[in-house]
Amino acid sequence: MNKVKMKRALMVLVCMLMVLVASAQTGKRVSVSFSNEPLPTVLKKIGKQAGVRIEFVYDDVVHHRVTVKLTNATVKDAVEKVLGGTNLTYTMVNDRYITVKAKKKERDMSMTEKSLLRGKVTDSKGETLPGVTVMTDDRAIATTTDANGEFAIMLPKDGSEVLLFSFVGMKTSRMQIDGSNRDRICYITMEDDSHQINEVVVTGIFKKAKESYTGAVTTISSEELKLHKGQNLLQTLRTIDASMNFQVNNLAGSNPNNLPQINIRGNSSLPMSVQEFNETTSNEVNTPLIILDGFEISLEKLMDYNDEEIESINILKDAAATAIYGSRGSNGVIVVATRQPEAGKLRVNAEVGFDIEAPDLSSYDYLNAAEKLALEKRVGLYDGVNTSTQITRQIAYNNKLARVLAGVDTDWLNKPVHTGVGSHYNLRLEGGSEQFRWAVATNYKNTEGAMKNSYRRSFNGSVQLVYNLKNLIFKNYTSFGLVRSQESNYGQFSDYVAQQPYNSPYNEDGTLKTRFGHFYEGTSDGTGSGDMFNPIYDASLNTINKAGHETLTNNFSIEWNILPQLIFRGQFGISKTSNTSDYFLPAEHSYFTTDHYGHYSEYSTDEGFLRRGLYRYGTGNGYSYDGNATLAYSNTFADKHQLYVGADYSISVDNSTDLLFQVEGISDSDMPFIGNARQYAQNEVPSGSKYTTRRVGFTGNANYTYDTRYYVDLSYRVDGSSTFGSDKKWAPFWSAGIGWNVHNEKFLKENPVVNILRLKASFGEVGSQTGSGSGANTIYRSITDNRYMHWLGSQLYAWGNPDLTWQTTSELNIGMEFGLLNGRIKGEFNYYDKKTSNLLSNMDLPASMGLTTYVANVGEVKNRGWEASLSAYVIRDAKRDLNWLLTGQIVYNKNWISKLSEVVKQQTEEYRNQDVEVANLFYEGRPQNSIYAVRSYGIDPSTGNEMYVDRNGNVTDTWKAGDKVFCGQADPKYRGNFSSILRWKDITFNATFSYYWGGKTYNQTLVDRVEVTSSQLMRQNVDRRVYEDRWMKPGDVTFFKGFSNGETRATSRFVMDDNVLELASLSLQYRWHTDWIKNLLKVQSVTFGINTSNLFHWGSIKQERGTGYPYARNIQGSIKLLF
Amino acid sequence: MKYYRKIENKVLAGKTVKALRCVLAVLPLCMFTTSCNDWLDVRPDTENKEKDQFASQKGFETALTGCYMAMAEQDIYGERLTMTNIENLANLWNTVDNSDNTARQQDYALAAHDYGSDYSKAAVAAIYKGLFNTVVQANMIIKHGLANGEVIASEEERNCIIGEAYAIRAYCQLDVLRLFGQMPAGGTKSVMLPYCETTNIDEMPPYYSYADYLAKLKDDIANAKKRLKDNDPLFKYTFSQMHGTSQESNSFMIYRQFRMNYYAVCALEARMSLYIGDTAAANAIAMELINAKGADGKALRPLSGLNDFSVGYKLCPNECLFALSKHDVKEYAASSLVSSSDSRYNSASDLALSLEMLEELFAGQNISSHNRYLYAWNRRVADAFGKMWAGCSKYNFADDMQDAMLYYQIIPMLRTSELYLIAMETGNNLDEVNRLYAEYMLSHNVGSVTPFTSLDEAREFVLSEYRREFFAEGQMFYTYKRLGMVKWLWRSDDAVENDYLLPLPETEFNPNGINNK
Repeated sequence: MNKVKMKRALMVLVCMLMVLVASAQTGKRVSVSFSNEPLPTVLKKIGKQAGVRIEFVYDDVVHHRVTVKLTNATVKDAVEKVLGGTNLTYTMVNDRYITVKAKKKERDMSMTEKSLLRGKVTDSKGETLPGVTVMTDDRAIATTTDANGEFAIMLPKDGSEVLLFSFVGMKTSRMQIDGSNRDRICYITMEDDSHQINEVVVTGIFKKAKESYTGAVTTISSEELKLHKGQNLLQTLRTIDASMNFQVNNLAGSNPNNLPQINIRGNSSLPMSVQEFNETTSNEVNTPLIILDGFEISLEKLMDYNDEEIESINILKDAAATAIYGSRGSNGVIVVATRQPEAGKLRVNAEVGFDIEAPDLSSYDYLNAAEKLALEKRVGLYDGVNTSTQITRQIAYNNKLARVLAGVDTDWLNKPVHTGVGSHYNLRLEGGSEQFRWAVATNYKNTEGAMKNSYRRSFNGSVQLVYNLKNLIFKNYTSFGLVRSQESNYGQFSDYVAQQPYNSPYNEDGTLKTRFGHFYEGTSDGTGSGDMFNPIYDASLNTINKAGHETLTNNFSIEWNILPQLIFRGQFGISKTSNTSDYFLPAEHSYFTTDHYGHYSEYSTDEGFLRRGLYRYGTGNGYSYDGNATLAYSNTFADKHQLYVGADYSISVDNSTDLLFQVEGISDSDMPFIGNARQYAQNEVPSGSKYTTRRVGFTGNANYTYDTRYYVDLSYRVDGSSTFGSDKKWAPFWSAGIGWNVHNEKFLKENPVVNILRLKASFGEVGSQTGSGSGANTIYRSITDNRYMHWLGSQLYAWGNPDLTWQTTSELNIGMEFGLLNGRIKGEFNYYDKKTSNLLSNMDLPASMGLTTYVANVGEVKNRGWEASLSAYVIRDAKRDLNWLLTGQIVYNKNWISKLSEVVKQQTEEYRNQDVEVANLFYEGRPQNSIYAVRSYGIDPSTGNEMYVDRNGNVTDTWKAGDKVFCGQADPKYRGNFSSILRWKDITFNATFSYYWGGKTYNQTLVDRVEVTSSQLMRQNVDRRVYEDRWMKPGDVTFFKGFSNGETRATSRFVMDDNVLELASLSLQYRWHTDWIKNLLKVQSVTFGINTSNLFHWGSIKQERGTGYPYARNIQGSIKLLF
Repeated sequence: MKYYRKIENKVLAGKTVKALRCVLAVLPLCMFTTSCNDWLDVRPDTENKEKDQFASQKGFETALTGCYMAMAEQDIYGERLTMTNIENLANLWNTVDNSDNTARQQDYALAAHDYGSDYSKAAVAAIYKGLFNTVVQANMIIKHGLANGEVIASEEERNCIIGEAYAIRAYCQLDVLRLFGQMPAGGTKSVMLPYCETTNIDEMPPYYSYADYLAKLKDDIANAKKRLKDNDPLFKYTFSQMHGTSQESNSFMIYRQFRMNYYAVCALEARMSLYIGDTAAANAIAMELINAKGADGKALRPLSGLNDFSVGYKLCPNECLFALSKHDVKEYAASSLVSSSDSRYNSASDLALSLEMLEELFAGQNISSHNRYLYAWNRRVADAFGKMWAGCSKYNFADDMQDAMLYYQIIPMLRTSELYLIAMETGNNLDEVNRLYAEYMLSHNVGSVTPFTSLDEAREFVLSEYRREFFAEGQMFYTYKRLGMVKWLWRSDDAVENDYLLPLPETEFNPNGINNK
C-alpha cells in the first residue's frame, strides 16, 4: 500500500484530460452504461457527454474499473456513482470543472480529527539531530526537529501515515505511523548516507568500510564536484584535492585541449637518462592509474568525463590503498564510481548550460606604438654606422613615426582571442522496477577556447541496465564517447605578443598584408632582421589542426550474493577506440614563404614551390578487454570479531596501433585532402607503433576488526605482466596496516567533544610498470634500413639482464582522523615516507662486450611529506536552515633523488665539464625538478653587463654552462586550498582559493620579453619594463642589463620565489522546488547554478601567464530540471 | 556409504552447494594461468628474443647477415678501417696542418698520432666498439649453432654458418690485435687484449697475453676451416657460378665472395701468419691459394687485370676472396674521398693526395699503362683556387652500372693481390718471386718488368706496393707495424713504438685485475 502511494505521489506521468465544451452546454444530463471499464475511460465519457472538464491524475484512477448504468443523471450524480467504493473524491468548481483526487490528498485539517505525534531523531551514534525535516510522504504536513532533535507533528487521527525524515548527509528515513505507535513517542535513528564521506571506500576492486580501512584516501562526492566545477573534470579535481599535484604549464595556459600532467604525492619515477629527460618534458611515467567502475581508463577519458554521471571519486594515495593494484599502484589510483540507476521511479534529469572562456590578459603589459618606437630610437637602432646608413635609418624612423602619428597602434594581443561561449547539455532518464532498473544518459559539451576557433567538443551516450534476480544482480553498461578537438587556426599566442604595435595587419585598402617589411622597411638598408609574417594572414587561410577520437565500451557484471556474507562478482569489459589527427598548412602559409623556421630556401626553388602545402595525418585504433572475478566474504563472530576476506582475479589485454604519415604538394588550399597531395613529404617515412600488453593479477585482502576498536588490514597481489622481463613475469606486492578507533574505547564513548578519533599506520610495496619492457631479455632486432646482398638481417640489439626486476615503491603512512563536536569539526592528518627503489637506468659495459649499456635497477627517489585537512561548520543552524562550512587543506612534499646510477652521474659530470647547456641535471640529494643556473652578481652599474660567480667562487663576466649550481626546487613545497561553503535554505554559495609556495621558478618571460637583445627588439614588441627598468648609462643601478646583442643566459638572477594564491572557484546554486513549479511546470525541482574558475591570480612573480595560449577565466551557468 | 552421503548433503545443503559451484566456475580461470607465462610473452613486431631468434634456420641466417652488416658499418670496415681513419694513421692522405680549420679533426689527430686527444679517442672508441659488436654478433651464432644448430636442416649449411661465424670473429680479433696489440716483432711493450667470446652480460671477456691471444685466434681460424672444409659450396661450384640461384637451390648460400668462405679463411690465415712472422706458413698458404683450382678446374681467383678495369671494376671484385656488400658506399665515400671531376676539393673536409704525392706513390712504376694509376685515381679534382688534386675514385662509379651490387657496391677485404704480395715477400726462391712478380705486374697492365736481383729488392717493392695496391683499403698501417718501420712515406718524424700501440678506450678495464691502460 505504501509503495503504491509513494509511487503515485511521485509519478511523473501526469495525464490530463481536457474536454472543453461551450458553457451553454453545462448541466447536461448523462445517460450511459459501463461494464467493467477502466475509470479513466469512464470519466472521459462522462465529461464529454456532460460538457464539463474533468481533471484527474491518471495514476490515481487507472486501477479502478467501473460497472454502472446511468440514466439521465446529473454530472454530480454520475461522478459520485462511478467513484463509489473507491478511495477517490471529487470537487467541482463553477459547474464547469471537476477535479478527481485521491481522498488523502485532501488535507483539510479542520474537517478531520487530529492528534499530535511526538518523537526524537538521533544519528547512528545516538547523537540528537537538530534541523531534520519531518514530513508526510506527500509533503503536505511538515516540521523540523528542534535543538534537542525533538519534533511534534499534527496528523490525522485515523488511517495510517508515512513520515519521511530527511537531513543533509543522512539517508532519508521513513516510518509507518498507524494505530500501533501513534500514541507513543517515536524514536528515529538516521543513518549516514553511504555515498557521503566517511562510510565506504570504493577501491575499484573491493568495497571497504572506512571504519576499518587503513589506507590514505580522499573521497570526493558528486556534491563537491558540482560546487567546484571547472573547465573540465581534471580542473575540478585540482580545486578539490590538493594532494593531486598539477604541474603548472605556463605555455599551454587554458587550452581546452591540453592534457595536464598529474602526480600524487610527488614524482616517483626517473627517466632513463638526463638526455631523455631534457628532450621530453613529458612526465607521463608519474601519471596515476585511473579506474572507472573497475576498468582502467586513460587520463584523457577522465578529463572528458561528464561529472553529472559520477557518484564519487576516491583518490587512493598510499601503498596500503594501492597494493591491490600491484604493479600499477605506485603513482596512486583514482577510482571513479558512476551513478547507478535509481530504483522504482522514473526520473528525468535535464540540464542546459553555457561555458564561457574569457581570456585573462591582465599579466601582459606591453608598449604601445609610440613607446615602442621611442624605445627603439633611444636604444640607438636608428643610429647609422656611417653617413649613408645614418640617412636611410632616419628615413625608416620617419616612415614609422608617420604611421604612429597617423594613429596606427595595433592591439595585437586581442586579435587572436575572444570570449569563447560554449554550451553543455545533459539528459538522463532512469527508472524501472526494483527488479529491473535502467538509465539512459547523454551529454554534449562544447568548450570554446579563449583563442579563436579552438574548441573541444565531446559527446557521451550510455545505457545502463540493472537486473535483479533473486540473489543475482546483472549489470550492463554500454557507452559511446566521441571527442573532437581543434587548435586555433591563429596559431601560437606568442606570435601575436611579439608583433610590432606600429604595424597594421591591413593594407590601406582593407586587405590583409601577407607580410611586413624588414626593420628598415622602405630603405636600402638591409641590415635589419628579415621580414616578418603576418599571423593574421596565416589565420585567414584554411589551416587545419584538429584531432578526434571515439570510444565504444561495454562492461558487463554479475553480482551473486551466494550467502548473505559471501558475494561473488564477475566483470567483463570490452573497449574499442579509434582516433585521427589532421594537420594541414596551405601552400600560401608563411611557413613556406618566410625564413622564420629556416624553410624558406627549401621551398623557394622550382621544386620547392610544388612541395608547398603540407598535410600530416595520423590514425590509430586500439581495443582492450578486461575481466575479473571477485569473491568477498564478511562476517561478524561473537559480536566482537569482524572479518572481511576478499579475493580477486583479473586479466586484461590491450592492443593498439598508431600510424602517422606526412604528404606535401597540396597546391589547392581549398582542397585540403590527402589524396590531392603530390608526394610523400621529403625525407619522411610513414611512422607508427604497434603494441600488445597483457596482464594477469591475483589479489587478496583480509581485514579483521576486534570490537570495532582495533583492526588490521592485509593486502597481497601477484601480478603477471607482459611488460616484465621473461624471468620475472610475476611480481608480488603487498601491504599491511593497523588501525585503532579510539572513539570506540570506553573512555571516549559518549564523550561530548570527541566523536571520531582514529589512528592508523600502514606500510606496503607497490610497483610501476613503466619502462621495464625488454631490459630482461637479450633482444634481436630486424634491420629494416640496411641490406646485405639480398638477405634480411637481424642484429643483437640489447643484452638482457636476467636479474632485472620491476620498480618498487615502498611507502609508510601514518594517519589520524578526528571528528569533534558532533561532526562540527572534522580533520585528517597523514604523514608519508615513500621510497621508489630499483629505478631502471642504463649501466655501462666495457665496449669489448659488444654493446655499451644494459638496463639495470639502480637509483632511488624519495618523497616525504604530510597532508592535513580540516573542515568546520562555523554555523550549523537548523532552525534558520543556515550552514556555513569552512574547509582547508595543506600538503607538504619533499622530493629528492637518493641514489643515482654511475652512468647518469657521469653524464651529468660530462655535461658540466664540457659546458654543455642542458635544462635539467640530476644530482643525488637534489629534487628531481630542480633549477640549475649560474650564480649572478647582478648588473655591473659601470658597464651594464651581468657578472657571474664561477664554479670556484670567482667573479667573472663570462657565462659557462659548467658553472651552474643548484638554485632551488621547481616544485612548490607547500600546496593547498581553502574554501567556504555557505548554505541557506536552497541557496549554496562556495568560494575556493588554492595556493602554493616554497618553490622557485625560472622567470623565462623576463628573459624573453624584458631582457631582449637589440636584434630581438627589431623583431618583437616588449614588456613595459624594458622601457623603464633597463640599464642605460654608467651609474644606473638596475635589475636588467643594458642593451646589446649578447643573449641572456640562465642565471640565478631570474630564479624567483614562486608563491601563488588563486581564486580557484566561485559558485552559486539555487534549488527551486516550490509547489508552484511542481504544479505549474510539472517539474520536481529546478536548480540554477553559476560556477567560475580561475577568476583571480595573485603571484609573487610578475610574469606573463599563458605564453602559447592565454589563461582564461572560466564561467559556467546551468539550469537543471528534475522531472 | 549412504550414511556418508547423508552427512555430505547436510553439510553442503542449500546455498553452500552454490558456493562450491561458484568456486568451481572460477577454477578454470586459475588453471589457465599456469600457461600464462607464454601468454604474457609479448614482443614488438620488429624484435625477437634470443631463444626465438635461433629457433629456426631463418633466424640463424638473418643473424649471420646481421653479423656481416655490423662488419660493414662505417665505424669499422665500411669506412674508418678502410678509407679514412686507418689510412690517416698510416699518414697516407694529405692532411691540413691547421687543426682548427678542419672538419676532419679525428683524422688529423690520428695522422698526428696524438692518441691523447679527445678526437682520436672518439675515433678509436668507435672502431673498438664496432669491432667487438661484430664479434658478439658472431659469438651468439657460434653459441647457438653448437647448442641447437640442428634447426638448420642441411648439415652443410649448418657447418658453413658456424664456420663463417668463427671466421668473422677471427677477422675482427686479428684487427684488434693489429691495432691495439703489441709489436709482433721488436717491441719492448707487452699488451694484454680482450678476446671476446661473450654471449651474455655475465661473461666479461678475459684479457690474454700475446701468445695466449694468438692461440685463441688460431683456434678460431682452425675451427672455421674445419667447419667450412668440404661444406662450402665453393667445393662444388665456382665463385661466378654462385652469382645466381641456378646452381645452388638455397639462395642463402650463394654469393660466396661476400661471405667468409673457406678460401677467405685461408687467406686470413696467411695474413695472420705473415703478421706474426710465421713467414713459412704464410708463404705456403699464399702459394696454395694462388695455385688453387676452382670447381671448374681453372684458377680459383686470378688477379684482376685490364679486362676488369676497362669495364670499371676498380675494386677488383673478381679477385676478392672476401668483400663486404655495402649498398650505399658510393654515396658516403663521396663525402670523404673526392673522386668525381665535378666535385671540388676542400682541404678542410676532404681526403685526397696532391699530384706530387700521387707521383711519389707511383714512383718507379710505369704509369703510362699501370691500370691502378690510370683507373683508380682521378687527377683532375680542383680546389677553390683551381689547383688540381688526386682523388681516389675506387669507390665511385656511374649510376647506371649493371650488377652494381656485385661489382661496385663492395668493400674489398681479402684479395688475391695480397696473396701475391705475401708470397713475394716470404718467398725464398728468387726465380719463383720473379715469376709471381711478372704475373702480378701483368695484371696491372705493366708487360715488361725488370726482374728483382735480390729478395730484399722484392721486399722493398712489396712494401711500397702495399701502399699503392691497398690505398683506401686500410692495410698500410699494419704493414708498417709488422715491419716495425721507423721511416714512413709522407711522415717527417720517426715512428716510435707508442705510435703503433693504440690505447684502449677509457671505458675499458681488464677484468683479470691487471691494469692495461
